[in-house]
Amino acid sequence: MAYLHTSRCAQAVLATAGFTLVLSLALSMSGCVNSTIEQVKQPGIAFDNADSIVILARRHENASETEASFTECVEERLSEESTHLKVHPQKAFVDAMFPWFEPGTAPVTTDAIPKLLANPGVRSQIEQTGVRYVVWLDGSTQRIDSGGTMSCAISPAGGGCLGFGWWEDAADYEATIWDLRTASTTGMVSADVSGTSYMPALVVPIPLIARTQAAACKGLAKQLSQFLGGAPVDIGSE
Amino acid sequence: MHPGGNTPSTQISRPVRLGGLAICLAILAGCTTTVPIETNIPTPLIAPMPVRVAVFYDPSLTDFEHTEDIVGASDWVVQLGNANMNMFNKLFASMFATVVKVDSLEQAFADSEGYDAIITPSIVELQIAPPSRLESDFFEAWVKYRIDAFDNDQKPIVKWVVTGYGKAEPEMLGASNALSAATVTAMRDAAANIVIKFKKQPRVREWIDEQERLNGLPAH
Repeated sequence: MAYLHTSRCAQAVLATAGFTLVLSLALSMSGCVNSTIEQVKQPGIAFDNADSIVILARRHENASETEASFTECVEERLSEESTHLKVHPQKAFVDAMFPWFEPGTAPVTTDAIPKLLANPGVRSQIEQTGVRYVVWLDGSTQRIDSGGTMSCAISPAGGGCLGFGWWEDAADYEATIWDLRTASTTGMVSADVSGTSYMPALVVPIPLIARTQAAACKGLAKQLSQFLGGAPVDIGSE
Repeated sequence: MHPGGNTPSTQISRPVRLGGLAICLAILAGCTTTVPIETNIPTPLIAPMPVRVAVFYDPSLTDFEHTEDIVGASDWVVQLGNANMNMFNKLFASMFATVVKVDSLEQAFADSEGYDAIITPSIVELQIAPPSRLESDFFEAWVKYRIDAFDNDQKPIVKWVVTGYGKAEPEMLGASNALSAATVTAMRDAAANIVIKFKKQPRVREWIDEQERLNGLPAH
């Protein structure tokens, strides 16, 4: 009996260790991501860190508008990582400026800024928020390809999957920085990220997810932070 | 033992399952999900027009409900009445110098000397499109309002139709919440259009200029 007890314990330990190993491997592995982050900056522009920035998304009446989650991600990363930048919350800004920064009424080009500021109360309200720079985000993450097959079955004795699946996502985003005080575009940052995720399944499917949108968010936020903070800029591909 | 090795419960379970499925589908098809819409439109950042207006809210606006029939699923009843009232109250309070709510158009016309204009907003339609219908990832909503304005001689100033559009991602919010979010966004879009574009309507502009001249105020 003592031998049997030990054997069951050993089996349980081995099973737990095996499961933990598979889980750890799945969590530590991920799909492949390729990023290209580029920027264009107007010469002679010096950003004043006393002023705030706000991150806004361009909205379109089609499926490829910038996801709210992406805008929130860039805003959060900039707020957390850039202590030198004052990031004004998007919702608070749009509400304070209602109805002038709504999807259908926001200025589309910098030429429209003087006319916008001429409306009663608009200039003083912007000054009150402390926002000088508007970062317009445009773009989206799309599934561009997928393939593979996978079969799953379940029976009273158990279940499992067998096969292999994959999919490729492309995240193309562009951030255009406006200076409301000078009514001009001060620069542009773009992120083109593609990622391929894999899902091999041998009894248990193991997802190896490429975090394409997260990589685009991280890259764009980092570049924006350097751009607006005046730090040396690292242009190129990752 | 039972013939064929089947237990009685297995023999019964198939028709029971089918019957149960049919009952479930029938119940689901007969169900409705009520979605009351609540809006919190911000106070518009505009200068009010220097006029006194009476506003009449027709019950068709304040009690408005829209039923969306979804094939093979529960229907949605979108209740927009309170949200309409709250939205127009906030917009008109910012758009006009003085706003008085009246209980009927007749009352407003009878007391027309007290006002420069009588305004009555109405809702023309609300359209909802769930993701399956559009083969998109979004819930979408379109709302269409009409604003009728009369001068104090009961002559029409303008009959203006304004629309709003909104969409929301269901994955993040769940179906009812996404439907509500899309409708609220559509209303907010319409509200922004009303605030900015109402006074730009040529007939409204002429009428405002006339009022400013009559009241001795500088015309824009």
